[in-house]
Amino acid sequence: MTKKIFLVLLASILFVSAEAQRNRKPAAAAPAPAPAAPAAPDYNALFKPMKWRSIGPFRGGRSVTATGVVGDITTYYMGTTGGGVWKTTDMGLTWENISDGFFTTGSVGAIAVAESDPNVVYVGMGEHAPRGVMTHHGDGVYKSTDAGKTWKKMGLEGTQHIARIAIHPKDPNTVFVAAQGPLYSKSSERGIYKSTDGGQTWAKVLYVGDQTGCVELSMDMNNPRVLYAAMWEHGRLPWKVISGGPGSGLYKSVDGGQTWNKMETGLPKEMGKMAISVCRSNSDRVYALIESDSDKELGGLFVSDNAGKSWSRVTNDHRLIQRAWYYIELFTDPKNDNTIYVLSAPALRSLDGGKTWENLYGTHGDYHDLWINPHNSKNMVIANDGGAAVSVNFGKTWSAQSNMPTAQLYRINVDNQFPYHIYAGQQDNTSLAIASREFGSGGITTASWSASAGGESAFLAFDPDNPRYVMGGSYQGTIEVLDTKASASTNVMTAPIQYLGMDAKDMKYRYNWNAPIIWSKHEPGTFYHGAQVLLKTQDMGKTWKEVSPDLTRNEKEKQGKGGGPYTNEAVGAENYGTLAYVLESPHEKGVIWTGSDDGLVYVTRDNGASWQNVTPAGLAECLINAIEVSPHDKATAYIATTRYKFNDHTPALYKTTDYGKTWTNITTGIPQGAFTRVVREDDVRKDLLFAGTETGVYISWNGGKNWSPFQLNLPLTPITDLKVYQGNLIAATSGRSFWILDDLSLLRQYNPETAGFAFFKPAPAMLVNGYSELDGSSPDFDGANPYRGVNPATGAVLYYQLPDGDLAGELTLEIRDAQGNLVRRFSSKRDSAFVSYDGGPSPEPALPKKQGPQPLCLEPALPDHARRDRRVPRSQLPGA
Amino acid sequence: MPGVTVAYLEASYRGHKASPGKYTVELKWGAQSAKMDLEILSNPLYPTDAKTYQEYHAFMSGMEAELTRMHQMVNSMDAKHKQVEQILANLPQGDSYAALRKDGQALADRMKAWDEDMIQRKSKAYDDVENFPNKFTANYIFLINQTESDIPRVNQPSRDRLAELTAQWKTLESRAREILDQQIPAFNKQLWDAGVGAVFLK
Repeated sequence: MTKKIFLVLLASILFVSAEAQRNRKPAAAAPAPAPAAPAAPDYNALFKPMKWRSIGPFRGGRSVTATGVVGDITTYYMGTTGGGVWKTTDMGLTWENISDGFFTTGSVGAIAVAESDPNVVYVGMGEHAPRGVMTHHGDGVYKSTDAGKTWKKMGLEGTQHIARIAIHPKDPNTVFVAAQGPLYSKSSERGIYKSTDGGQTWAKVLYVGDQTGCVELSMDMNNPRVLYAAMWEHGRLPWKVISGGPGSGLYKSVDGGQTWNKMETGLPKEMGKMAISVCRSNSDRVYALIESDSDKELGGLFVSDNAGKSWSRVTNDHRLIQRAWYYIELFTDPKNDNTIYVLSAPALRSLDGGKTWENLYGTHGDYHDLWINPHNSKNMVIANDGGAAVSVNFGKTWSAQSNMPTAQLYRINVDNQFPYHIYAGQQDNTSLAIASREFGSGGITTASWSASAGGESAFLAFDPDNPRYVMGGSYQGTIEVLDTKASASTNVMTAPIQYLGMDAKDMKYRYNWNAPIIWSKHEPGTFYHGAQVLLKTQDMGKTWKEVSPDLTRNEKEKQGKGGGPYTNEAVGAENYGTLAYVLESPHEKGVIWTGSDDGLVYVTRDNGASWQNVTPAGLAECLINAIEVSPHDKATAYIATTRYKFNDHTPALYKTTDYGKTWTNITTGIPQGAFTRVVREDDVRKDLLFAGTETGVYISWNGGKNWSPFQLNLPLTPITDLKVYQGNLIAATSGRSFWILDDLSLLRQYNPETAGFAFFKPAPAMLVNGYSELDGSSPDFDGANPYRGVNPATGAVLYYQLPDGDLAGELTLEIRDAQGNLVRRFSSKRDSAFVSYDGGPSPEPALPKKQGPQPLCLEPALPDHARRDRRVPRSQLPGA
Repeated sequence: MPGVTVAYLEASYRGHKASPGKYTVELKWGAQSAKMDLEILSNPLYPTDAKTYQEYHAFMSGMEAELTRMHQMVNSMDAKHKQVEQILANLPQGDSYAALRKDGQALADRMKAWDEDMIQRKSKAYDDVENFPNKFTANYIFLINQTESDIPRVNQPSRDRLAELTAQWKTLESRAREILDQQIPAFNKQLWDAGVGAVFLK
C-alpha cells in the first residue's frame, strides 16, 4: 500500500477532535479475499478510518441454541441465526459478541461447554430450525480453549446445519456432533460425527442416508458410552419443506457411538422430526417427542422406562408436536425424571411425566433450545425467536432481550424526516421505524424507534415527505395502512381470503412471504402490492385493481402443499411463483420492474398496459431478490439473484443498459459462497456499486466489471438489503440489526491513481446538538455501543492522505471563515506545556501523522462534572 | 480558552460552536498544501437567522477573547507574585533591607489580593465549587457558558450581566495594570538600587 487515509473529525468548527490511523492487518471480520483484479488495493485496510456504526434496534433476533456453564451461574453463551456467538458474564444483563473476526459464517446451530473444563467451548454452525427465509447455512465446527476469547475452525465445513454438540462429561476432547446437513440438497455430509482428539479429526459414526441428518443427540451423563439419537429425513424445495420419511428413526449406542441400534418397539413407523432426552436423574427413563402422521394422530410424547428397549405414548397433545419441522424440542430436568420441557410456539412444562402441561411466560415466544443447570434445576437459559434469556427461579422470570442488537431485518425504506428514519420488517417481531441518529444525546435508544405497519416480513411504503400513513404487509397477503399519529391501522387486504392451510395453486393471489409493497413517486396516492400479479390502489386500499398478468412461471406442480409428508406448512413462506421485488423507475412515470421468486424479470414502460419479459437469456430458475434502476441512467438496471434454495451459493448479479433487452453477469471478484441479495449504485458517483451478499459487502468502482471486499468494521453477517441515502450507505442484516456507513463523500472522491499527499473535500456539516463515539473514537473502535445505537460524528468529517515513508515536518490544518479570519488551527505538534487538571480545559487535539495505527482519542470521555446537568448544560458536554 | 492551573472551574472552556456558513480548510505539510471549502449547514429544526448567528458569534467571541486575556493575566501575575515571594524569602537580613522588605511585602499582598479576587485556587475538585466561593473569572465564564446555546440567542440578561462584569473587570484590570505597570517597575528599581536584582517583566 502506498498511501494511507487519515480522518479528522471536526465535531464543530470550534470543537475539534481528530483521529487517524493506518491499518496493517486485514479488518477483523473481512470475508475471504476475493479473486479480485490484480493489484486491487485492500480497501478494508485503506478505508479503515471509515466506520460502519451499529444503530440497532436493540431487540433480539432468533436464537436456536444457548448454554450455561457448569459451576458458573453468571456465564451463558447464545448462538444467533446470523449474528454469531454472544456471551454474558452477568446473567444476561449485558451480552457481547465473541465470534467477530474469527467466524466466517454467522448462523449458529449448537453450542456446548465442556462440563469438565469450562474453557473448552464447541460451536456448530448453521441453525437447526431450518426456515426457508432468514435461515443461513454454517461452515462446520469452531472451538475455543479460552472460554470464547479466541476460536479455531475444526472442520466439518460441508455439514451446513448442526443441531447439537455433546461433550463427554469428563473428557473435553471426546465430542459428538449432530449434523443435520445441507437443507436444499442431498448430501453425505450429515449424520453423527465423533472426535476423540478435541476436534482435530472426525469419524462419522452414524449415517443413515443422504437426506437424513441428526437432529438431536442425548448423552447419558451417568455413562457417556450411552447415546440416544434422533435421525431426521428432511429437506427443502423452494416451495415445500419435507419433514419425515423412511430415513427418520431413533437410535441408541452403548459403546460410545461405535455401533447403533434402531429403537422401534412401541414407536410409530411413520416418523418425521423427533427429539430425544435421557434423564440425568434416572438413566433408564428416556423421553422422545415424535412427529408422525398427523391425520392418523400417531405422533406425540413417548416414554421408555427401560433405557429404550420399549416405548409407550404418554400424550398426543398437539401443542407438543405442531409445526414440527420448526420445533420438536424436548428437555428433561436433570434432577427430576417427571419434569419435562417441550418447546414449541409456547414453552411447555410438565411436572407429572407428560400428563399435564403448563406454559412458561415472560420471554419471547417460539422456542428452540433449553439448557438446565445440572446442579440447580431452577437455573436455565432458553433460546427463542427473540434471543436467549436466563432464569434463576424455575422459569418464573427471565432476563431481558432488549439488550441485543441482533435483529434480522428485511427491506430498507427511508423517509425525509430530519433526521431520516429507516423502516424494515423484523423477523419474528413487528416491523419498525428507527431514527438514523438522535439529537441531544449520544445515540439511538429504544426511544428512537417504534413499531410500524404490517408484520415481521413487511415491505413498508409511504410518501417519504409525509410518512404519517405507512402501508405494510404480513404473510399471505394481509396488509394494512398504519396511521402513525393515531397508532392504529386500517386493514386493506385485496381479497380477504384465509389462505392458511390452503394449497398455493388454489389461492386467488399468491403472495411471497416478503411480498413487495411500494409507493409511487410519480402518481400521487398510489401504492402497489405484489402477488403473482401486480395490484394497484390509488385510494389507500379502498379499491385495488390488477395491473399485470401473472408475472411468474406459474408452475402448478410447485404450488401444492407447503409441507409434508406428515405435517402441512402453510403460513406462506413456501408460496412459490410470486413476485419478490417491484420497483418503479425513479426517472420515469409508468416504468415498473418486477422480479419473481422463480426467476422472471418483467418491465412495463406504459404503466402496466403491456409487460415485457426481460429475463436474462438462459437465467436458471432463481430468486430475483432485488432490482436497482441506475440513478444515473433510466435504461440501466441491475438485478441481484440467488439460487440458495437450490443449494447453489454462486453470486449472480446482472446489469442491463437497454431496459432489459440484454444483460451482463457482473460478479467478477465476488467469491463463490457470497451469494447475492442486493446491488445498489451510488447516486452521486456513477458506476460506484455496492453488493450485499450472504458473507458481507462488496464494492465496485466500475459499474460491476470487478468487485472487491468492502466490509471495513461491519461484522460478518448476511446482508439482506442496502440503501444509499443522503451520503450514507445503510445495511440491513440478518442477525446484527441495521448499520450505517456515513461518509460516502470520501468514496465519491477516491481515485486509485492519487498517490501521496491528498486532501478530500469534506461533505457539508450540519449544526446539531448531541455527541457520538465517532467524534473522537479510537482507530480500532468497532462501531458499536453495548447499550444503544451509535450516532454519526457530530460535526464535519475530514479525510486526508499522506504518503508512506519519511513523515518529518509539521502538519497543520487551518480553518478560516468566509472573511478569512482564522477560526481555529491544528498541528501535528502537541503543546508540550499543556497541563491537565480537574476542572480545567482539554488539550488541543494534535493532527495524527505518524505511521502505523495510532490509537488516539483526542476528545475526552465525559468528565465528572457531566454527571450532573444541574450545572453543566448538555450543550456543553463533550461530544464532540 | 485557557484555564488557571489547577483551579477547578465549573465551566466549559471549549468555546461556542461555529455558525452556519462557508469556511475554508487548509492542510499544509511541508511544502505541500491543499485548500478545501467546508460548508456548515443550518439545522432545519432551528429558527435562528443569520443576523442572530452573527450577533451571537460577535458577543461570544468578545467574551471568549476577554476571558482568555483575563486568565493570561492571572497566570502572568501569579508567576510574578511567586518571584516576589522568592525574592522576599531570599533578602539578606538586616535593617538596610527593611524598607525593601516592607514595600515588597506590600506589593506581594496586593498581588495576592488581586489574585484572590480573580480566581478561587482552593477549588480543586468537583464539589469544591460548592465549598469555596467563586471569584471573578468563574463568574465571567459562567456568563459565557450560560449565553452559549445550541440554538443561540443573546438575551438581554446576558447583556446586562456582561455590563456589570465588564465594570468590575475595569476596576480589576486597572488594579492589575497599576501593579504591572507601576508598582513592579518601582519595586524593581528599589531592588536594583539595593543591588539585589529584579522581577522579570517579560
